[in-house]
Amino acid sequence: MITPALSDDILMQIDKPARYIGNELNMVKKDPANVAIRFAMCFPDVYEIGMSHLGIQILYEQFNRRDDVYCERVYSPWPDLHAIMKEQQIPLFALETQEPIKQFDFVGITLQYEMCYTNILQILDLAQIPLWQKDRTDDDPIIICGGPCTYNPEPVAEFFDLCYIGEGELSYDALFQLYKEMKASGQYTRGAFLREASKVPGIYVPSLYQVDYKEDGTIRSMTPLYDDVPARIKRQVLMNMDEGAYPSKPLVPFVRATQDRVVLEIQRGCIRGCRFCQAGMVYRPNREKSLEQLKTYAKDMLASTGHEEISLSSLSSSDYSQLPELVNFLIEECCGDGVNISLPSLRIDAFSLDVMSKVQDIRKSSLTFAPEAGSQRLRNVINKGLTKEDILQGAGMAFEGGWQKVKLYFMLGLPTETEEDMRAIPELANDIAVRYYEIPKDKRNGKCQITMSTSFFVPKPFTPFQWAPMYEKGEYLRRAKIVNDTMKEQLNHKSLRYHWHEADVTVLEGLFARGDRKLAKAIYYAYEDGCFFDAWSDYFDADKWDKALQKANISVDFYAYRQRPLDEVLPWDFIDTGVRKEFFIREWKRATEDQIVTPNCKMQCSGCGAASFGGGICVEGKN
Amino acid sequence: MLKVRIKFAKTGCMKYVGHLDIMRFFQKAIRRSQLPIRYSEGFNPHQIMSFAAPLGVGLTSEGEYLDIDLKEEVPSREALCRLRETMVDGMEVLQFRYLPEDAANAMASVAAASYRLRYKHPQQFPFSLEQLLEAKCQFYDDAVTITIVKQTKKGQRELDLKPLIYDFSIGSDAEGIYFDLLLSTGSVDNIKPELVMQHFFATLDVVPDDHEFFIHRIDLLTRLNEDLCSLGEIGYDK
Repeated sequence: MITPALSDDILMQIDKPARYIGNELNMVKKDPANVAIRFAMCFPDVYEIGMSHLGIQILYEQFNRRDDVYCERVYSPWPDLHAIMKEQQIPLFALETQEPIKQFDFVGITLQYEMCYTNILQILDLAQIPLWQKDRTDDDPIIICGGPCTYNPEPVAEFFDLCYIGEGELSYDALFQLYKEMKASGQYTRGAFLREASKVPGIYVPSLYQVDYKEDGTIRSMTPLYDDVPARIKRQVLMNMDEGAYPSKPLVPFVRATQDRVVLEIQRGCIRGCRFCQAGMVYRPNREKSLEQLKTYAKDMLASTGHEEISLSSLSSSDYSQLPELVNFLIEECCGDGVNISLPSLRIDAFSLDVMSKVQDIRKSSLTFAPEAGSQRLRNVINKGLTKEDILQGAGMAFEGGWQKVKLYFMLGLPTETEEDMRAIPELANDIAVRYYEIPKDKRNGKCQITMSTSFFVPKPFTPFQWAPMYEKGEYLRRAKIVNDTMKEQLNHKSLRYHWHEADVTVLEGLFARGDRKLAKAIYYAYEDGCFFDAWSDYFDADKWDKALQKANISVDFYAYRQRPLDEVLPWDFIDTGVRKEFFIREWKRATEDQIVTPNCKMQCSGCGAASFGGGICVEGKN
Repeated sequence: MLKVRIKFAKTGCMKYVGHLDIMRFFQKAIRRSQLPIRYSEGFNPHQIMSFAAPLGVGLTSEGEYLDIDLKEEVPSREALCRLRETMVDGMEVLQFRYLPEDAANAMASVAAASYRLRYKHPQQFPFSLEQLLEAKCQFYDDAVTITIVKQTKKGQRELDLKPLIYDFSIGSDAEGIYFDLLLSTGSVDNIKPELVMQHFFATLDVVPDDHEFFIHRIDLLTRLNEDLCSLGEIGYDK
């Protein structure tokens, strides 16, 4: 058995020591002496969050299938351990071998949300690896990032040697091959490797580009330093979803992870085209896994983990073409004997209600709708096809079937939003309650409970709303107050509830989502001043961030509050996601000028550009 | 009804995994092994499973027990194999025994626990074996009562440790000094080994912090006709 890197004295004085010992079921064991490449895969947040992430489990499986690679895991030590490691100079270690990651070949960090950016620095700092890319030597590991935030890596680009743009299934083999060859031939230097790596499809090497700015602070140009470095980076896409590695023996943590269940990824991409949604744009085209393969994985993964629950993962499960077959299979073949299905948010219709009544306790469970906007006008602007009639009809069917609880999700601060749109949120909730009370008293089960939640809209790169302005914190709260006040005026206000998110982090999220390289200093200063775990409200410190932004001379106005002109060079323009900028411009105009919806990919192709990948819905839709 | 008692050991780094997580570990392990365990009725059925005595974080053990109910009989040897295949390093299933119909469940039957303790930082305890034995004589062997004040939720209460320490011996081997304790355990008088050590060392003018000892639980015992016997001796292989 492996001896923990941390002493017994330390493990006994920190919270949840089992986060740091590894040894979980299905952990991969290899002799590091027998591999050419040691890879530390990192999710820069606490263990329970990181262990819930499917992408890392996929890459863990994929990398470890290679005999010449040993992929291990590392997560952010919680602040209690962080303090001890800093004080005693204990280098951050990987869970599998408990050995310091500074002696590894690669450290891969997944960027799932902007508020983890200071935790990148925490990882590097504790690992005793130089924070800035330019300060690293040939002996330091190659630091690479991937994940959704790499669709604009610029705010953190100067901390990374490499950024992987797209789906990890595609280019890692080529990258590993290159590394191995250069190491074996003795040609390896950090500089030489990065230069060669820039030619691997999907690999972006920030240090090989020069960014020039105009006087107004916007980007004039971003140019490769050498002729053989590509000017644009093409997103990597797995076209045959049945070909990728999938963890049929996923790791099972001892500490209860947030996602304590089997997760079955059924498809990537989304046909819907909601204009605020980055995932719906950058994961195009929609590609399904085959029903047969999903059936096999479901059985294998339940058997290899012993989990008591299985859930489906995708952006819009209702759109999976063989959903009824899949769900019926799971109910008939996998459920029972203590195994449950947890259903993702399905479109509410006769089928989903029937399924839900089989697998959930109707009295306790609630229906979920995500209209995202209260009024039909604004729903058209964001291209959310859902109509009020859909919602009332779905809710009505559910109420007749015995449900009483409804959850509604909305965003505030969407482009073109007016006070009327805000007031429409509680009005819609009231209409749903009215529908409930239409049911005769003897056939319903007391009161209904309609819960509205709002988050604040953050414009994201590679969406039709990437040019849209944000608002200051006070303005967001003013909008939430309008919703709250209007709710109180409703006839059925006693059946309505309203929650809104804190606005503190929203602006910062927006700043990083659309920021450029100048933001790196602010992240550095914030970390230096003690900011980390910013995604955790207990640790988020708005004052420290204000100071860091000031010190780095960052104008929030410039990055967040300004309507950006359509012809401005955007920091992420060098990435080619396959979806063309002309499409985003067209969609932006359809949203804000014409206020009309665009049909989904199944109904009609809108020519976004993703058809260039030659597969998925783009091909299946056309006979 | 088929009642089964499983004996297991928890060693190495598994000592940092808490009791609730060990419970979840076994729930999943039993599903993986596909043993025909019985589930409770209701909308969220759970496995019929009860653990003898929770082991604190930081303790190792070679004598832990959990009881389960099976829907149908599986030969002990086969069940043992299936469970062993799905363990992790530091978790070892030692026995799989069927219980008599009238056997009390593991938690209700526990009456005592035996422990072996060792120093984590021997330099903080500069005592020879002779000194320790002499101190133990005074503290335990020759004492009529060992009155201590125990902090409870409702305040302080006096407690006599003497009748609750069934055995106390000190020895020495290649790894150094060790302390063997046999202590009253269970829902009524649950005595933790740290508590005894605290009061014992107080007689030598040393106040050990929590976690000053490596604590290894050797076994859990039940009362059978006035005598103590291992929980693992109840029942039989099938």
